Amino acid sequence: MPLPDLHTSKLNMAYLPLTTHVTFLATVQRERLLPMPGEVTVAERQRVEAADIVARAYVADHHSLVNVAEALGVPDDKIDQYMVKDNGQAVKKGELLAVRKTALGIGTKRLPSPVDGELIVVGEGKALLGSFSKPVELHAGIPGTVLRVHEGRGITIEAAGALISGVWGNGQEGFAVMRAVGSSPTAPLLTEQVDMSLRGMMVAAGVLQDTAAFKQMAEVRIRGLVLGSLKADLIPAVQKLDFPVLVTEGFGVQGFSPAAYSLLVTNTGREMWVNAHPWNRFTGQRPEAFIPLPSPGQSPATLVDGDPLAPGKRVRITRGAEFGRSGTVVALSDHAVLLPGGGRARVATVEFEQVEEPWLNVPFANLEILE
Amino acid sequence: MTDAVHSIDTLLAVDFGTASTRVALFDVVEGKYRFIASGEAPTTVDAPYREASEGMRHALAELQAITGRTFFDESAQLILPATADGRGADVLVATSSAGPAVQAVLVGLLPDVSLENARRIANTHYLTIRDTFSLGDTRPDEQRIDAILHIRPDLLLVTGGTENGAAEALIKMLDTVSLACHLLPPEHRVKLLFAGNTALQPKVNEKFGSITSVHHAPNLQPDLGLTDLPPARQALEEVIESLRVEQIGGFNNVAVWTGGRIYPTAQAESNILRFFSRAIGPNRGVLSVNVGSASTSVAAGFGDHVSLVVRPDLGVGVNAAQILKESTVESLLQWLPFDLTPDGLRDFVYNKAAHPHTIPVDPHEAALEYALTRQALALALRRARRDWTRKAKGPRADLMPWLDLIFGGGASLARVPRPGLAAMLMLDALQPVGQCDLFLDSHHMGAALGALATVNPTAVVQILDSGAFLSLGTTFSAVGTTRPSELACLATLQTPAGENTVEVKYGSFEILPFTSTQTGKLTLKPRPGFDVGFGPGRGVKNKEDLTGGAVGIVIDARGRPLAFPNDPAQRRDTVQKWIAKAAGEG
Repeated sequence: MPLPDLHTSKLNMAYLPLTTHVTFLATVQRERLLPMPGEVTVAERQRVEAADIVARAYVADHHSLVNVAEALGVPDDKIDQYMVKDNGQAVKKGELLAVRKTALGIGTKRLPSPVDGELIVVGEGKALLGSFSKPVELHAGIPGTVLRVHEGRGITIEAAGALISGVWGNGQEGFAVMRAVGSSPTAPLLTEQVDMSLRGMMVAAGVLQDTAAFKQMAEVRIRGLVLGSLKADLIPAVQKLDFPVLVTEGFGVQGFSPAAYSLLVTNTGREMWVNAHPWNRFTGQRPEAFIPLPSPGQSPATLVDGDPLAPGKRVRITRGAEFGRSGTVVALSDHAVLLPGGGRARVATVEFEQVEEPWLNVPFANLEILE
Repeated sequence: MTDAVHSIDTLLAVDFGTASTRVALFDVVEGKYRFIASGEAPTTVDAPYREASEGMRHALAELQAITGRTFFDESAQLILPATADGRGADVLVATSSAGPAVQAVLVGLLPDVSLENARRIANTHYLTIRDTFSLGDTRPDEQRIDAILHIRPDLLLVTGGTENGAAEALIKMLDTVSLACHLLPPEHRVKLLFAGNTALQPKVNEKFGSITSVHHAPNLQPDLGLTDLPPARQALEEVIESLRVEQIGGFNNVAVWTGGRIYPTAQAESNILRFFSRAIGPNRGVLSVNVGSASTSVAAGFGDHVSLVVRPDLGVGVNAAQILKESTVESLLQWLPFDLTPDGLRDFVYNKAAHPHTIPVDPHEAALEYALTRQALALALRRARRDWTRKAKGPRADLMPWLDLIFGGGASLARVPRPGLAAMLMLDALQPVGQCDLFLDSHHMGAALGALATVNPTAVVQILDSGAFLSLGTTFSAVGTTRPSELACLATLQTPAGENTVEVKYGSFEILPFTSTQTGKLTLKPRPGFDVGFGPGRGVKNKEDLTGGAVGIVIDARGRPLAFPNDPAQRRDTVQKWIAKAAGEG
């Protein structure tokens, strides 16, 4: 079938589609940052493992407000002189926070701390105490080398491995050995597949279309799920699971793209980091799965993001009957063409490896670059 | 150095949307300002670019390709003002709805008074109210502190207290907020807008000056029973603009080119609505709606009373899932001309949210997209109507008030393939009653003109006069009910070309082609009890003040509220007929 004449663009008006990674080997850099200022416990160029603590912050998980002025019977702006603890100082429950002595000691007013914690700040006649059950500890997440230390906030880790971008996550993350199950990219996860051989593992499966396997997953204690697609009505249930669930393609029963499936099957049995935090398009934090791989000698190429659409680029279709198909751009139109739905849009001619339908014209807006 | 020309002839406007950045060029042609051309490119506010001006440069490159006019000099700087040899522009104005919504906490005294007033001005912006503190809030102080630390708001909007009124309760509440602000990370410097009792401004400065960026506005409620929202709304707009310049990469450069202002798109659009509303007067209304990927806005004007509601969490792209959260699945499925399971619909909506900038390629997908557009509009309208003046008159309290004009905008409406489909979506979602003219902002000019109005109102009037918005036509929507397929209205249009009569059956609409340049006389004979805008059962004979447009004259007898057949197959068939008729295929 001959390629269509699209009056290929001469105007160099770049179209900037989303870049999605299904990368078998690349150098990846990821920021790991504390939610609040704290201390970084590793140094630049240090090798870290996934479970290593790289930064720590003491963030109060509960606050107590003590009305010092009222307890001592003094004006709001006079309490500083009665405080016996300074801002930032630790205090035990029952330990004196403030005291107002009288000349003979009769009528002296003492104010003990109601909680174990730290005096955070004094103001407006009150003392704010923070209680800490345990520090916030930031794990490396992925094994790699500390590329940069962000003082008091965290680090950037560099590692080599395989990466799959996702489109949705249930807000958690984890690291474990990954096992791909199912006989095809679109095979649904079946309850009987969740047996004790998957205990403690990340499970990769084409489709999750019901909650039948949830009880079994809890009993087996799997560590996470990587899905090609998820039925959207399962979202509320999946959000309640206590392990990460990452969706790589979308919602429905389409399963994995051939490239993602191939990557997962190739790497089954290897450790995988699953970051299933929601996609923040503004900051660029995207749900993803990363498989650390040895890269003796030279580091593999770093990831490329944000390239314009151009002939030669590998792309994937993100909408319509051809959703998920990937191919190579061979031409870009410089004018809008009529679409079957009646609309008009600029299109790219995408060439596929499959012989039966070797090319398609796809609106720019319905393509993402595959790197 | 550029050779500056002295008159302000060449006007350039840029609008940063969630998905697309659009530029529009206006210039003087034969002594009057006219729209020349527009360019568009993907917005680059989000990662990995995080540089808004990149998308603007691409959009300008397209504009340059169309017009041949150069906008950047050799050092890639925007040429301002225009040079004598026709490069650059004299003025650049900018509007934006891009970037994440501002996260705000509202603080007020009484939930129904000061907090409600704060909510009303907050709802006019791309702003998400994450929490509210008031005397009606029974949480202990510690929980309020934890709430602020959890939310990490960008903005605290504080109101409360009349002028010379009691101050102690508000001060006490602010003490807690101030302690919480002390605990926020130093790099997270929240902005605080105080619009309460002005006597407390020094106290607010004292408590928050070192830990937040404090701004003041006139009191929202200077006296009991008296509210004064516009000054505080204006102050909030400026605070949010400054926040956006700090948050969004490249906005600082754009702000230099625009003289400091990057107006919120919805506010700029409402400037234009205000112009029309004042011209029409208080007896009939003007409505402007905009549906985008991330947000939906509804502005309504009844004389001097203009209200604007922005839903930054509701759109047909990245925020499409919110439509499902606020609607029944059936309310979306009812718009589809084919059978689809609830699961199939949910999957479609979540896929749209995951790939928000995609466009429909076949009729089924287009129908799904239309369903989302209608429902986003209907939901935003429901919220907006709470703020409309009670003086707005209409046939019934549960129906829309009389409206003279409706402007539809945003990519969802502007990119539909036929003007008739845009008209149908507006009629379906908004369900106007009686006579109303429909306009489509097909070139996304509403925001541009609203921003230009601040620098060159004459240009705006001339551009509006030249047909900046696409006139779709005049609609007559009947209120009344009868059996399906019974005659609801007989309509006859006489033009120099001849006479065209249509029988409009209950449950259908009919279109009489009639362009803006044609002249003609319309006669409507509604069924007894049916009101097409002239009273129940009353028609009109040889009506001449007809606007006309790309669609023509639409007589809508589908009922208000719009009625669907109960049988699913019949309903699908009916919806298909509506779509086909609107697309000019039926």
